[in-house]
Amino acid sequence: MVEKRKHNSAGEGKITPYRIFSIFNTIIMLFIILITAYPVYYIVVASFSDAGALSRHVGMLWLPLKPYTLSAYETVFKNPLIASGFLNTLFVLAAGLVVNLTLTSLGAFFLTIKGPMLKNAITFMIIFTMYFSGGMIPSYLNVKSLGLMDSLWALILPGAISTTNLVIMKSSFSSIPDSLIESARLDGASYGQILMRVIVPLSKATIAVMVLYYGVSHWNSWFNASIYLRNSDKFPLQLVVRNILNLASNSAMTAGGGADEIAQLADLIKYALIVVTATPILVLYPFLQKYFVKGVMVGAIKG
Amino acid sequence: MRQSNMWKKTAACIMAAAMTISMCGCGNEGDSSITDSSDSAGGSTESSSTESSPEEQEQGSEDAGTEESESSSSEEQAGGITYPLEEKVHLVLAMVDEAAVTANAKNLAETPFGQAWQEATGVELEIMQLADGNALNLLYAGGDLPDMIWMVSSYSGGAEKAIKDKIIEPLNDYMEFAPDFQAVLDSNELYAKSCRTSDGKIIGFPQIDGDDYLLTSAGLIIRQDWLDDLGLAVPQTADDLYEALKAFKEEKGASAPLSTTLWWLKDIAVQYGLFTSPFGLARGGFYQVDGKVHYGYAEQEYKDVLEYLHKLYEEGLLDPNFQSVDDNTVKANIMNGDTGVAIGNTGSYIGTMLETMAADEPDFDLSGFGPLVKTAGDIPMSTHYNWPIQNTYVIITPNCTNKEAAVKFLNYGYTEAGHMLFNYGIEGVSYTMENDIPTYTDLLMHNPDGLTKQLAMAQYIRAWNGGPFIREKGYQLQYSDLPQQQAALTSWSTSDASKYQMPPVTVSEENTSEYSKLNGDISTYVSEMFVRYVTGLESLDTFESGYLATLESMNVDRVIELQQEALDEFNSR
Repeated sequence: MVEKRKHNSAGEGKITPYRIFSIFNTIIMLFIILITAYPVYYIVVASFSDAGALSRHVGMLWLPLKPYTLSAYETVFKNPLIASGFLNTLFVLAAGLVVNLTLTSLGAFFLTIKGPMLKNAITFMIIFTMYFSGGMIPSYLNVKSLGLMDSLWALILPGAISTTNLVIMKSSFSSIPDSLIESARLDGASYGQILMRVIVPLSKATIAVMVLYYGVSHWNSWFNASIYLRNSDKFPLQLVVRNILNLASNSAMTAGGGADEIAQLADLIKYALIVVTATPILVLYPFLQKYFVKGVMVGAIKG
Repeated sequence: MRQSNMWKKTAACIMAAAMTISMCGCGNEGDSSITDSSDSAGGSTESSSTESSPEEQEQGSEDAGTEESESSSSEEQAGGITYPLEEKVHLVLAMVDEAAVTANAKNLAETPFGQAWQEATGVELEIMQLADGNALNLLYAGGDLPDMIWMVSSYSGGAEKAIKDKIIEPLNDYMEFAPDFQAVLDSNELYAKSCRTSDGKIIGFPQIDGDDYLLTSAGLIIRQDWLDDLGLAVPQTADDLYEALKAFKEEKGASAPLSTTLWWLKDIAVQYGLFTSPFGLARGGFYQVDGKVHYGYAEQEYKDVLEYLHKLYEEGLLDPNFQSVDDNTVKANIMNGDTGVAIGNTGSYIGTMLETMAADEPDFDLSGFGPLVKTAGDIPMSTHYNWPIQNTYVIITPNCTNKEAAVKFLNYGYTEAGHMLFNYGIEGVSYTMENDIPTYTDLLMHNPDGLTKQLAMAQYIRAWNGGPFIREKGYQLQYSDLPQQQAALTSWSTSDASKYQMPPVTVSEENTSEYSKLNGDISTYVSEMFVRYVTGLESLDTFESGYLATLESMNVDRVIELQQEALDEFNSR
């Protein structure tokens, strides 16, 4: 688009160094898009292909291999844990986002306003956790003694605030002129009102980014679930997916199997699972894309 | 402008897609290890005097009043324990999620198998479902243990340490409640040694593979239809294989006559000695000769093995991409006629390929062959073998609320009725007796709901993935039912492995960290040098002065010594 605008203003047919640059730039960018997009395309196409044909296929794949099949999707959706996994993930996503955003904004607000006692010491202690953590076993013991074992809240509460996100949010809040906060104070607004009526409305872009960051991390996370949950019907989607993929790759490798079509189907199932689990969050991206750039920038520009 | 806007949107979508996929991609790597732990804390494999299939087991005679016998006792009352138990017991069993089970049931206790097990024993079983081995380790660390734990890998530091750490309650004081299990241990010295610690404590209820036939699952595979075309016999010696590969290259146009992944080549073929017998080496890794431990990768004969593989590589007979290809590529190579020989297993290799090709190319045929030998007709020194008792145990924890009942519950798998349930499931449902041979029904073999064999079996039996019982050959015969698979297993399981393989020894606790550090470094170095020698990056002239000398400086002698101690300890049990 930039190229076009330039092109028009520079007049037809004139070769400027900038144009040459643009042409090569576009070609290189297209190439990069191609090599990043192709694997995605491959997965989608392969998931509809015939398992046997796919296993014999070598090289690039542009169209699904005949006969087209939905058998991988059938296997995936037949698994009762996929449905319960979806619901569990949705719960963690919804409840998690509320907790995350509330606590992160409160925390960032605290670090932004002037006046609290020991603010520097507290800031230091918060930043400290970005670099040093207790490790897996202490976290596990902590969650256990909090009585959160085998509960979906174990996936929400321990990670309620991500320090990185808190810092991003804090810089975004700090970019709001102090005078705005002061004038609100003068008008008699409480801290709660300042946060809700002044700061949050001015930081929508950053909050959208936080929704994306926290949302994607909830959507993708399986590790905490794998250590805190003890019941397969509480497993979130990604953990179910991981176990199915392990099943597929294990039965492809393990001792003396029969002529079992699971080994053949293994790859198809893998591809179908990726499509099924990635699509919902994928759909979210284009809508948040515009905030994405803006939101992170707002934080970065602060001088 | 509208067009460019369109373009912008599309580009945004694509970028977003790429990003999400890259973010979703983490952590999906399956741990694709074949069941054997090869060199870690114990050697691996073998089988010697394990011919006693359950039917033939001797009567247990140690416990007074147990007229137990696997073959003749009545169904419900074996060895003095009356099933179902009179008292109602509720027991919690922690186990790692088996996706094949949970694909169709909430957990093991709710499968038809689990229901039958509970009904037969009168125990109400509750499953604590752990997502993976990691969660299991945290369970150990966390303190409050359930009644029983289904251990699928060895506790770090070995069973002795687990007993000390109060994870495992040794069974010695409770064996009177497990007369059938006791009989199994009495019947076979090897079993008895394998599931005891050095001070004689019985670890738990092991999975036992009761037949040699069940102990191997991988070996060399060749395009039988090509051999027939060329009028060649199945290769037996290293030279035979070389000739066959050459013929494949020249007359069949195979671009990579022997294609395989690095893992199969190094960690299976060389590690288990599929290529080493012709050169007088039993196998890579640790093995024993008359009670003396050797490390195959530090033996002089290993040089000849490397030389042979290097020759194959240099003449273009071994796939030049062996370091980077994956299983799917290897299989595609075979099916597309680029490859004639590979290393693989009965299921995903022989079975999958024959099934895939059956429709398109009915002539396509595969055979299992090897391990290679020095002169035709010899018995190979080693093969891919697993020890009949590996690391799968169901154990009782010191926290167990009713140890007596738990022991009785787990003893059930070794009774005659339990043996049938674990191997074949429920009579009339998952198997029927045909000519006195238990035969799986179509419910398992051709499931009406379209479940694969494995998924259907996961609901009705335990033979598909083990448990506290003796697995029978009948399972494998029916599961790998293609004649080519059967023939391959027969070829692969013929060897002198029993003379050379290390039993499942444990390096003593105080030496564990020293051992794993030394052994880790040495294994890494060995793998690295394997590739360098095979590809010719390093000349084999440096074998003695460079490679062996480095191994020595890495203290390989100490590692061998530690294994020797462990072996002596095992033999003295």
